[in-house]
Amino acid sequence: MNFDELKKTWEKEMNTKSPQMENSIQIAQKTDREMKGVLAIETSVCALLFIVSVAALASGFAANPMMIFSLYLMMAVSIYIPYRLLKARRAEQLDNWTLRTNIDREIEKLEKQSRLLSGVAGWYLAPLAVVVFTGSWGGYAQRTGTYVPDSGLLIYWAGCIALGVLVIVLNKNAVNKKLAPTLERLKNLKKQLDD
Amino acid sequence: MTSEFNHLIHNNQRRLRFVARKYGGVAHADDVYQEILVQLWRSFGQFRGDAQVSTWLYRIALNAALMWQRKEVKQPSPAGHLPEASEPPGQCQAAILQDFLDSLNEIDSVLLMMHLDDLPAADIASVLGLSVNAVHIRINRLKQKFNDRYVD
Repeated sequence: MNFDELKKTWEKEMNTKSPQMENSIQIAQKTDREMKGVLAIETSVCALLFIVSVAALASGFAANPMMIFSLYLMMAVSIYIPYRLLKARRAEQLDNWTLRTNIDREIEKLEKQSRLLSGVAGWYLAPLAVVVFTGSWGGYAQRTGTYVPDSGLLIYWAGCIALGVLVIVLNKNAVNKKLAPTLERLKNLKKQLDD
Repeated sequence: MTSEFNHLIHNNQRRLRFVARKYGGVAHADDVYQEILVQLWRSFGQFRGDAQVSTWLYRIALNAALMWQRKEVKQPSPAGHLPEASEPPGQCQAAILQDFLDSLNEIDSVLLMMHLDDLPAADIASVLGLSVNAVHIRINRLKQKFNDRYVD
């Protein structure tokens, strides 16, 4: 068999139809719906947080300045987080790309994502922590009339800190065990293109 | 549009399966295939016919396979490509074709598929992001490799 005969074999292979006709469109549509559903749930949760914050402010429920501050902060966070999620997951237009530009783009995105996950404490946990601390402290002060925290509040804060540490560890783990191998694989593909 | 899409997939199913298997290996081929279908479905309505259908199909399939690799963060499957030193198969031409495709890296194997599908070198170059000259060089290299491996 020589190289030119490969073409005939290829044509024959490609024209051999699978006995079962897959309902491809259903698979595609179902997966597409599922992806949109997850994003919709995450965005809805943030929208709900935003509405609750506005309602709490409008009703005058929060009288303590610290609690008012935390509600404003929660509004900002509930806009910022979906913005980041939507930006990261927006539909990709694949039909204008060459494989090379796509690989370059994905490498750049992965490197950014690694930096983002590595710095999750800065962009995600810190604002949330400020919301939790000021909110709980403000609520406590409004309820008891003093800013001196009791043991219950201290335990609550300790729990929040532990949770934050866990999130940081999990993110570091994701960077090392998942993103790094993918990045390596993409760089290998780029190398194949350059060879 | 639905029936046109089904028709398109039906006619190119094996082609897409080849790409999916190359990028996902045997273990994840179905997942990659599904990702390719989703991206084809999303892009199908916007396909204006500026390019050949096969060029458009390869472009979407390759980029979708790449997106899958990035999203799913799977370890490369050992069946993605076989070691080059493996023994050539028997005389069955389909087996030789499969063996040769398996022995190539991802880029060379899809380049070969496009070449076997009679895509012009300029189209292959535009899908992969190579120069036309580089495509010709790679095709000659593949011919040489095939001859070394299978032609006595």
